[in-house]
Amino acid sequence: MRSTADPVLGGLLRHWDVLLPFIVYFGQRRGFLEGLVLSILTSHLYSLSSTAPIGLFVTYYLTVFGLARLVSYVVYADQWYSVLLLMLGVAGLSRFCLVLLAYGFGHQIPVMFFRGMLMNSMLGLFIYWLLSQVDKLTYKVPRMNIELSKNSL
Amino acid sequence: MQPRKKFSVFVLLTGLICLLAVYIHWHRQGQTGKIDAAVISVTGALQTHFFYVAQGGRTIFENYFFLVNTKKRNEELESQVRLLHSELTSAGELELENKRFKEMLEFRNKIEQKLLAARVVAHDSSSDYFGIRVDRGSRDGVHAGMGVISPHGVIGRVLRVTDQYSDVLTLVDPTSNIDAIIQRSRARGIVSGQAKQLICKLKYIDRLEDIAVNDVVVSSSFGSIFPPGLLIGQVTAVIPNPNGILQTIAVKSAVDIYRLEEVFIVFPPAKSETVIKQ
Repeated sequence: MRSTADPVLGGLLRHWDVLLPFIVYFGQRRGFLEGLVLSILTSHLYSLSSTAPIGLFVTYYLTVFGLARLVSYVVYADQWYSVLLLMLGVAGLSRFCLVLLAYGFGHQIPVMFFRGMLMNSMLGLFIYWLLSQVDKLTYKVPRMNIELSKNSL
Repeated sequence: MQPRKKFSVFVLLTGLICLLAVYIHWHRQGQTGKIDAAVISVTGALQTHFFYVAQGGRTIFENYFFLVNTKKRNEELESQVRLLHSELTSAGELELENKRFKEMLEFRNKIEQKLLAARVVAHDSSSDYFGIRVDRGSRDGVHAGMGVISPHGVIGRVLRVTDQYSDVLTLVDPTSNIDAIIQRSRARGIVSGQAKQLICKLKYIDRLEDIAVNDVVVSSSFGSIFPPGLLIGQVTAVIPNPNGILQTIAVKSAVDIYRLEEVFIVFPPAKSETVIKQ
């Protein structure tokens, strides 16, 4: 997607973290094991399309998954504004995580906090909504509904 | 009345009418009588209205009934225009590709090292790394560490190889390090990326070295990864460091990796003869 968009959009999407909304969605709406497996698989696939050291993006996205999972116990994002806030928060935090993790792998990455944050939040909101629509169409029950129903019993 | 008599009267009357007509024609000399004028004005008005009605009918017929065919014809023409436009675009693309290939061929003939042409198939999935993927792999003899160049200059080095594809670490990637020299002063340093599209930095240059803006940076012969003297970029800024032993130099890469379509993978030389002809 980036390869196609770059010559056309001239780097407009260059700061877009494509996988971020997917991982946040897995953290929020999937069971722990299912989300973990999905996150590892997708992030490894992402790693294979990058010249970054193997393992960097798996570690990074697992951290994002953990963050989204932790947040889900406090805020369950199901309204557009809560999803937007969640995406904003995670996009900001994850950037620092990536810089720190890359440093651990011996690489230096510029922080570029604000440039990517807004784009990741807006596009993240859209992808999050799209994924929830797919879940609705396929009658996938959100994790929180199952857990709440357990408690109510 | 007998039939013969009847015929004579008929001929006589016809002859008289004809004579009367000829007389009127010669006598009036283009003038019209009152009765004729009245008849003409009535029939003329009728003719006029009939003419407009007929014209209107013809217009409706032409613009509406014939429009069915026009619409069909229009669709056919539009389809033809689309087809021709598509063919024109393809021809333009082929022309550009041809031009690039010609340029590459000319460049290939200048280099003594064996080169393998490859097509760029993807860019890095992450915006923090500047890698590209090319459609040549280990089955084509490619292995990690080989240099990748284009007629416009140095691109980078092969980082990872699979059977069919290779990942190339470009010179603008922050983890890339390429040995380089300033063409004018022969000062030597390492070109490294800065996670920006075109901007690199030249590291480890002594602050006493003579370097100026617009100096050309080329590849060195060290390591035989790239043909020596191949363009890397141009110095855009020299920031002296009065307290340190090194100076900071910004270099603008000669190649924009986001516009790359075809590249060359450089095979290591059989002997240590890696010079550009001429």
